Amino acid sequence: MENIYRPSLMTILNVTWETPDTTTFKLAYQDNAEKDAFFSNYKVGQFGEYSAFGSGESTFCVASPPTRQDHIECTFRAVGKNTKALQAMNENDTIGFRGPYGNYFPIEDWKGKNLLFIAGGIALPPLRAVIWNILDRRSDYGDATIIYGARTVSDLVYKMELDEWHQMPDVNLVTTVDPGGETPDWKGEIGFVPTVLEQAAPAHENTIAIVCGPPIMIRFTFPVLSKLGFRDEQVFTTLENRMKCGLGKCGRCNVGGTYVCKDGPVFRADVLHKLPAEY
Amino acid sequence: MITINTNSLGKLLESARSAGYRFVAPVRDGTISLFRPVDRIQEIALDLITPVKSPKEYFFSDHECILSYKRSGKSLIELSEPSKEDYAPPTVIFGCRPCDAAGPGIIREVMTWDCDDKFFLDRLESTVIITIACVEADEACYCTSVDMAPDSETGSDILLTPSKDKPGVQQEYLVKAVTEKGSRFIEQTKGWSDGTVNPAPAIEGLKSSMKPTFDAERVRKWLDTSFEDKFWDTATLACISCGTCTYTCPTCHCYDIIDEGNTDGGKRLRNWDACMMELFTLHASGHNPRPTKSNRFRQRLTHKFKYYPDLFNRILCTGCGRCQRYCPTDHALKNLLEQIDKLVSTESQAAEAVDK
Amino acid sequence: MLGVMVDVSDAETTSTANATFRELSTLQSFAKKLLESGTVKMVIGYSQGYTSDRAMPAFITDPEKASSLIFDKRCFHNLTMYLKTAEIKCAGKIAIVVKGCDAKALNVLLLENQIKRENLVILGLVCIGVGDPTLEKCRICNVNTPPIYDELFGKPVPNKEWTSATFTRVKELEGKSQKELWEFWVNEFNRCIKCYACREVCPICTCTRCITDKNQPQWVPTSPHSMGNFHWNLTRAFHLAGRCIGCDECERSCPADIPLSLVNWKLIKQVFEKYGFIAGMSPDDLPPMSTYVEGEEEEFIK
Ligand SMILES: Cc1cc2nc3c(=O)[nH]c(=O)nc-3n(C[C@H](O)[C@H](O)[C@H](O)COP(=O)(O)OP(=O)(O)OC[C@H]3O[C@@H](n4cnc5c(N)ncnc54)[C@H](O)[C@@H]3O)c2cc1C
Ligand code: SF4
Ligand code: SF4
Ligand code: SF4
Ligand code: SF4
Ligand code: FES
Repeated sequence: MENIYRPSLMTILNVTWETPDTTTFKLAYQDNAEKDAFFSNYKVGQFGEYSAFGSGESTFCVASPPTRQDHIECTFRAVGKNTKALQAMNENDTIGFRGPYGNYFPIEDWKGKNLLFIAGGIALPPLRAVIWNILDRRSDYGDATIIYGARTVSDLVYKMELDEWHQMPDVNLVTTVDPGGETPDWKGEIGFVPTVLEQAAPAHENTIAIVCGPPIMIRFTFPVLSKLGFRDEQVFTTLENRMKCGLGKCGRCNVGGTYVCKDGPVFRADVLHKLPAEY
Repeated sequence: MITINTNSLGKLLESARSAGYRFVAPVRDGTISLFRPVDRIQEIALDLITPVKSPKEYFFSDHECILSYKRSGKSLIELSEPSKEDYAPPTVIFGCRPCDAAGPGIIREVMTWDCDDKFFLDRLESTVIITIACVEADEACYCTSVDMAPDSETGSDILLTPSKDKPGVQQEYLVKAVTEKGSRFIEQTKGWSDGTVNPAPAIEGLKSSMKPTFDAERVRKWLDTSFEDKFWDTATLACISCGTCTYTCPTCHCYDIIDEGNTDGGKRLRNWDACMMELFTLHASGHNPRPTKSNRFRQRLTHKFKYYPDLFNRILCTGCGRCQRYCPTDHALKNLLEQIDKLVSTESQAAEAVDK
Repeated sequence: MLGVMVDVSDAETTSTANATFRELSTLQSFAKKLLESGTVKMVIGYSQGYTSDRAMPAFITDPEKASSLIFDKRCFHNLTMYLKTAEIKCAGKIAIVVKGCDAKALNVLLLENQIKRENLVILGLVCIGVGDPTLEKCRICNVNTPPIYDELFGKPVPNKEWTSATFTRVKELEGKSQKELWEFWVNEFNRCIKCYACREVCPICTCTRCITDKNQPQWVPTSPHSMGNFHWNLTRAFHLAGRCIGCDECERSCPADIPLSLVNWKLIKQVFEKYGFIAGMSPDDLPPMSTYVEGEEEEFIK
């Protein structure tokens, strides 16, 4: 029998410092069969367990799209034991990875629709995978609007890509920082994400909104969306309950009877609202 | 059907051991009781209602290595795994009560949910569970309230049914092979049987005297709509949020995964963990979806009597009574289940009265 | 684990065996009045347990329920441990039933600023021992009459004085060789399953984040293997040195029946012999392990 806890070994190809405490790893499978197995299953929105051997495992989403098959990426903030150990690693080092786990964004159902991405802080990575996925298949989708905010300018991740998206004529990018978080040369908006969303007032017709961010941001963004005319069925988000196995066995990620590692992390708002407030 | 006398149990142990099985049975050690490998039949304590620790640890160890890693070059890592021979030796678990025998089969549902946990399954496969039906229960026991009975065969490979309705006396046990594995074991180790008979069911007495004390289905329905009920806060005040109930429980199966070692080499372990622990769900950000012990106890009760049954159609409890017997504050799960049941019946009576 | 159970079918013996039991109706009516008058929001005491052989903690808010209070040999629990829980902390002013040993815990909690005196009505019971046979801690108890209370139930009895000779169980242990001791403790601690009942039940374990729950660095290995268990059990005891009041609740609660009180009492004896200090005798006594007096002879800081 196969050991479901055995990770694949991955080589760190590249380390990018997004902010003083947030890093992006570009990772390559050391074993080609494992790589093929991953890409035959992987869909945007899924997550994995990443480990610095000796420090345990951490759950991060896969931040790169399945349309780029030579590597995977993850972006993570150093908050605890394993994330700090990972951040201390360098190019060419080996880490462990298990995945892909969980459900995914139903982007096939979204073909022909406009997409509105709303992200706060470190929660851009799961959306980034979707954004690149649809940008790589641009003609399948309608308008793309991205509203991204962070506490301060230095907390914005993927600065290079933000520039790239900004240049793209068919992407509407709005960046914002919390009041007081701006620098003298900041050209974006100043204000909290829900407020900026309300001002931008994107149309709800034929549009899917995908919201990722800290619980507080999500809580204040949902009402704004419904004010703008979005029905719950048009709104998607992700949950980040604490996980260990990622496989529906260790018993810690459930929200009521729903296991976030199996039935999530992606939830449509109407489904989410039926769950007990245990996240 | 074949039988075995109390006096011949030693022969059963001998033949199992010479067939290569580790023989695990309930024993007393000082003031504690547990399942442990034994060499001699005299070591076994068959008079215990249940040992403090359930035999769960023989399928799902309180700590076990699931992976080893070693640095094999400047930036290279080599992985290895414990071998099945080491973690899943052929084992007989003898003298289980039906409530303990049922545990592993119930946990099996989650351990095979979409993918298989080999550490659990390999052990289950290499273990023969020999159960003795009960002729004695205590106030904490409640198997009959959770779809079980003092003579349930659920989860057993072989069930021994005593001939006399009394504890502590010489018995002529009726031996029933419940599973294929059980038959094979009897075939493989025979020589211990004392002949064949056709005795009457012996423990009808206990079965009929152990009336269910709550209706699990009614509790489940109440749970459907009572996540926010104020019941939880007042009913859970006495709980101290420790791990006693979950760790002694034959059906609790939650775990943690941690590394022990340094960057050059070490082990990845899977350790018991429990929803009653405050850290269980704590996010790295400091946010905790279940910050209070009332939230945590609600999870424990609801997991057992609603979430698990909803998913796998089985109650995650065998009524063994440990969580009551060993709770430091007598904060019994059974007590809460009965309270809920009573709440439902008074509510429905009140509703009926209004209807009339 | 529950150490000793008493046969309550013989209620007669139970009541006469414990003199304070006679004061039960006074306690009940006093508690009732406290609730009725609104002096307190809740009375924490004992009530009949779920099974006939046990008593359990009771959290009484309804004056009519005050009559369910009991006190007898089954009332092992040190109820003061509930004072550290979030639920009770925000409950407002409460009354709490304490035996002498439990009352010692109140003194330590007051000393360490963990509780507010003005939020408590202390219902002290004169207790001549719980358990059947009587527990070891009761045999050597020096607080049959509680050292702190607002209202006393039962006729005060003179309290015994401790001497070095008091600690017979520890003395037995001290008679063992290094090797015997090592084997003894390895064997005992091996059974630990890291349920942390010993910590949760302890009134003095008030840290918001226990050291065993900290992972940066990982001071105490979390696995229940020999090393992890040794780390945990000794860390727990040492952090309670000079603070543990000897209620032995950790030992009673331990499902693995590890003689945790032996470690605690070794430290209690040590602190008593070195500093003449007994934790919990007064809310003002400075604790020797966290005070430094100038000129103090410290063998280990050189
Ligand atoms: C589906 C999903 C996707 C996610 N995606 C991402 C992502 O893309 N990027 C990202 O950065 N994060 C992501 N997260 C969050 C991420 O999983 C956690 O931040 C990470 O696992 C923390 O790991 P750690 O080992 O560093 O923390 P740990 O060292 O395990 O520390 C955090 C936990 O340890 C315990 N702990 C022990 N001691 C302490 C202490 N002294 N202080 C605080 N806690 C302590 C607490 O229980 C705490 O919850 C995601 C989570 C989920 C569930
Ligand atoms: S119910 Fe009892 S054993 Fe379980 S966590 Fe609460 S106090 Fe501990
Ligand atoms: S929940 Fe309690 S009674 Fe049920 S199986 Fe677990 S320990 Fe036994
Ligand atoms: S009751 Fe708690 S510890 Fe037991 S299986 Fe359910 S979630 Fe896990
Ligand atoms: S010493 Fe006993 S009570 Fe404490 S954690 Fe270990 S098993 Fe639990
Ligand atoms: S992460 Fe283990 S069950 Fe979901």
